[in-house]
Amino acid sequence: MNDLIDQQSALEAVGPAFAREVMLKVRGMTRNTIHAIASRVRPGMVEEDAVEMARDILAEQDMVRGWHDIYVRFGTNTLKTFGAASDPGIVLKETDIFLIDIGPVWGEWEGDGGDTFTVGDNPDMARCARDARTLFHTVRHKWEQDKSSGKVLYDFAAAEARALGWELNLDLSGHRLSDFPHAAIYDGPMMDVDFTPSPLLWVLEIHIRHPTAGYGAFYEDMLLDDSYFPDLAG
Amino acid sequence: MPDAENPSRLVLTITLDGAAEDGVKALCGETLLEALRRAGTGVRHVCGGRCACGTCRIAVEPEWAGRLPAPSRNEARLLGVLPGATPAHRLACQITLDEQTDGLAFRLDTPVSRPSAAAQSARTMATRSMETNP
Repeated sequence: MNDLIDQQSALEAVGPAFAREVMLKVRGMTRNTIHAIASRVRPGMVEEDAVEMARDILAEQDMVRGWHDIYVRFGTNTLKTFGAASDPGIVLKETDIFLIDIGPVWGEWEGDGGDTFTVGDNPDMARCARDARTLFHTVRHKWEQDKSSGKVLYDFAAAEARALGWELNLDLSGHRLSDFPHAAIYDGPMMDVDFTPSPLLWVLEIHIRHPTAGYGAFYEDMLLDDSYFPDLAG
Repeated sequence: MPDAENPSRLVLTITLDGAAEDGVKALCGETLLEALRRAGTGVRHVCGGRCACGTCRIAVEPEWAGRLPAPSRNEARLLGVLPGATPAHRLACQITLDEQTDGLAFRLDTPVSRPSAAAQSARTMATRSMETNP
């Protein structure tokens, strides 16, 4: 038991600039920026141009620096795992799916967020994007209610994804967030921790893939209780 | 100089923090970051060499000023927002080594955060909040 407490203390340490209010402020900036990027993505756009556009939008928000690269992925590239290079030259079709994953640094503080969007009228793609978001909240609710460990949360997430007809990519299985750089404290996955992750210090990631069709969806946000998700109300 | 085991490649010697006598061995075609990592220099690379985090920043010695290809728009923009930016700075992940860079002299210069005015304001806000809401 003491070992677990020691492990949690070590892995949940923060740096000297850590400030709860600012972490939440950067979270809000990150989510707003994701939606600003998405609102300017259009069918016919080449993925590389969308990434450059995202870079410019982040720069306008004083978030040039990132703790990871900027990902805007179109169509089949939504299957790619974190860090993998996209297939080049993918153009967003009239009916298609795309995801955004950004990890900006504002001042001394890290943000991280991801979401998936669709264009056109493919109901299965729309369900994929919706299910990534739903699964995020289903897993988050389990964390909130059962005080589950990171390992239990991702075992649960994989089973829930299967039940919905998707495959969960466990290469993207949560991580720390803090004042920059969290990697100096703990660079590993949340899935590996045997304690209940504390709020505000971790990011919950959900990347699901269609088992046969060439697309997937991604959603991630800070691990926080319901009160931080006003869109869920009603 | 030619690589004895692989003559088709060149081995470069780069000078890190003035340690000219040992230098860092590097291969043509790899990035400076890759060479520094292999040499165990402890260079930081939070984003994995993707020109995102700026932690692999180096300062090129004056005799090398203007001898490297100009930074890309993205590298220049990132360098410009890092604390303590100077024209001598480059990102090791963005420098691809070739014969022209043999002998490159530089020092590691990982940015130390000195908050921007906006960030400093946020920090003050957070401190005040903590004082009023212990």
